[in-house]
Amino acid sequence: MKSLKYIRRTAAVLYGLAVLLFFLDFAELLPVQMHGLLHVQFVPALMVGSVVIVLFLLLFTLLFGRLYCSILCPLGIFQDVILRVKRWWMNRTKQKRKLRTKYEPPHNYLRYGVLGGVTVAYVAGSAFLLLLLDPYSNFGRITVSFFKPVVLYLNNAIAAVANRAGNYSFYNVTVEPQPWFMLLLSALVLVVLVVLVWQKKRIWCNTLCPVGTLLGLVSRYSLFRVRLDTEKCTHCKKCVSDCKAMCIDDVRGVVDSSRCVVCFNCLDKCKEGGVRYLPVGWMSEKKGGILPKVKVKEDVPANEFNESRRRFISGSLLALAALPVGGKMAKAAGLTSRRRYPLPPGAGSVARFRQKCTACQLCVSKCPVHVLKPAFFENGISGLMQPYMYFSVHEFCQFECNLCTQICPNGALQKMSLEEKKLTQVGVVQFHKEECVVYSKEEYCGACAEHCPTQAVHMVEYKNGLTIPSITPEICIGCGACESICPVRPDAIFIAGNEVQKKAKAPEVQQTQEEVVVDDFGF
Amino acid sequence: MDRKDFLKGMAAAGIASVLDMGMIRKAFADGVPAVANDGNMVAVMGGEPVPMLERMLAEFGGIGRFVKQGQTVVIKPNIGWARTPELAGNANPELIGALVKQCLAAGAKEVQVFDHTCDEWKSCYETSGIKAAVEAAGGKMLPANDESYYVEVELPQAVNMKKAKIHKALVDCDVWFNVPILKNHGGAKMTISMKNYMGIVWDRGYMHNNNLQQCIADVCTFQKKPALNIVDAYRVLKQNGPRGKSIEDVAVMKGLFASPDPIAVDTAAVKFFNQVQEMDLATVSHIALGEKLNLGTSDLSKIEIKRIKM
Repeated sequence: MKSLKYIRRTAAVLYGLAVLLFFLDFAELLPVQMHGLLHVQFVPALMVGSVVIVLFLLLFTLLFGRLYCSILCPLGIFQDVILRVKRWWMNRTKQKRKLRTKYEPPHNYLRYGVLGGVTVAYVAGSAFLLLLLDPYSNFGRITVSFFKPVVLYLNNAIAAVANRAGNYSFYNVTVEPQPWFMLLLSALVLVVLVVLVWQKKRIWCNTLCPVGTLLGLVSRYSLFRVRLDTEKCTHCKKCVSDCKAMCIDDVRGVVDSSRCVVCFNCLDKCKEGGVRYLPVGWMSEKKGGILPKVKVKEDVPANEFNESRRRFISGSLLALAALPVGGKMAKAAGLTSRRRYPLPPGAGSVARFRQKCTACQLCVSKCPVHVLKPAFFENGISGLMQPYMYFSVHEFCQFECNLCTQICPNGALQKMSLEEKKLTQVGVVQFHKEECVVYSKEEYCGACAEHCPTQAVHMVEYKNGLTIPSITPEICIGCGACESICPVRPDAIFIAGNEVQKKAKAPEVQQTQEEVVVDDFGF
Repeated sequence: MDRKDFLKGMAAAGIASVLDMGMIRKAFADGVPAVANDGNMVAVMGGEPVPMLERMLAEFGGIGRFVKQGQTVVIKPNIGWARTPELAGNANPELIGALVKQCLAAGAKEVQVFDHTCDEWKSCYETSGIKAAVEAAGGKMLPANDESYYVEVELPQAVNMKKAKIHKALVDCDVWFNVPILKNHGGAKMTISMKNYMGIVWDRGYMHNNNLQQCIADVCTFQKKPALNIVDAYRVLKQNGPRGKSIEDVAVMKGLFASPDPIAVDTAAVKFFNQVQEMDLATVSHIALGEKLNLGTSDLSKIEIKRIKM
């Protein structure tokens, strides 16, 4: 049975590493197709509406229990890494006994409360709670906030040395850290995660994680389960002590399969061979059964989640759920920014996007020019952390790129071909002549038209040989090239985001080349 | 003028800058750097890019006149856009590849190629075909995507832009070639060799905001002059430049003009361009502004031009 643990560990390391590297790969070294790995993530699969994947994951859980939490959930794998760090630290400092844990009764009010809250809020039209608690997205946010800058600085250090030696296979990249609120929110989750793991291992997965709780409802009835053979049990508590979910109750002789994350740690701990991973029926129910339906009393000392803390948590969750309402109020009061920023191509509409995106930051991390940024209030309060387009020098949507639409695991950015994307209008150009340097200073510029891929911005004769920008909004796709390079950005020319993305009119071009015969120099 | 004179000039300017500005002016008034006044031009037309380049260099007396054994060479093409070669947004990749090969054959230690692109840099390097051509020829593509690759350089002759952050490779190299493609330009009217200088500078926003035409002329006062300004006029972007919208914007004109004098070669190129699309030379005002800064002459009768039809 020992090999099961190694299989689990190998699978987790391979998958976790692949996901991590895909997030961190700033140089597009890894194949784009690797985004396929992310489609097995539960919440993204739900968002895409992929019945096949969701059913597969549920069936997989029904067969093997919550193995998903151990080998496919990046946040779960990350918690296991934190646990390893703890183990290393405790071993080093000779505090091994601190690694031992007891049985933890389930926090049913909390976990079902969270799941219920997330579901009710979602059905009622707010994906905000889901966005905050989705394990995959939290992993993405922590990775992009903290691990990515480390990788970039490391790259730049190597590049500095390599470039000096005349090797340019490494190059310096401009490090653009996530904005403060992203760092703050990711740090908050990270701290909570570390503290929880340090105290109670995978308690996050069995309280705050809606995916864990949902899969737990299924794994309760799974075919394969970890079971205790009560006849063999000597109550040495070795398995109990090593259980990541803290869900083995040797006193009652049960393993709570709704909380078991199927890490297989317990199996080889039992010298008696009394812990086994077997299909239901292979061990008689008398010898070991599923968790009895009696409610475990709160007087078990291991339970530190008291009533006031629970109230605090549910109160905070309620407050968070109420945020979208606050957003509407803010908007009504004119507190939002002076204009709407465009959403990334494929978002469809503000309303649709809000419901689909869980702000995993993959597109933000992968965008080759970093025109995609996590929003603070630019997308409204409930659009917190979801991407929007912000234009600045070098940062505008590349005409020949549709990467974000290809990789979004949630389908929040719908897949579109390059041709489609080139006609997707995410916003429309606005031109304020009075602010333009050609008008105000009577000087040459034309940077906007120079960058415009559709010539929705083009230069027309003005006076004294000067040309001034002129716009054709219906062929504008809102890529922001004009705004990004405007010397008086963002006053003279800017993109106003579309609430609903439209199809732009194709610019009129003849795809034929006129024959020109020139047989003289002309000078 | 040869390299020794040039270096002497540079050294003089360097010492002078410590002493006073008057002496710098004197150094320049003495004709240092004098490349621009060494006015002559070779204009080739009617051939393919590589044979035209070879012919042009032969007329100048061979690449060996410009590149010496063991030198580090920089080639600065226009690689502004993620556009394929047919769309004429960037310098011709075959031309750049052939030039790299020539420099290496002349004994160059290393040939480096870069541009501060407008579109995302890696897609520009790749889509333009220039990366492939340069690497196949044995040259190196240098990154120019980050401010750390630029160093501040004083431009004492400049009117508006008194200093600029210029790519380190160019500041450090022994000799460089400026290789623009001939294009119409919505803002600066035309982009040829002078406008191609913008790709050696980091802060272009400043240029757009401080009289673009003057700033273009200003950056051309950068003291290390290119050995040659080689204007690729094989495919010419006659409208909707500098990016271009579609193939109909492109005219195949099969020209190649080279001169150490950017004013002369740009003047010639505008006249050549005029044969497919009307363009008043006076509106391409950075040329006149450059002439005012003694960067060369727009009076083509004053220089010797070899015209070759292939």
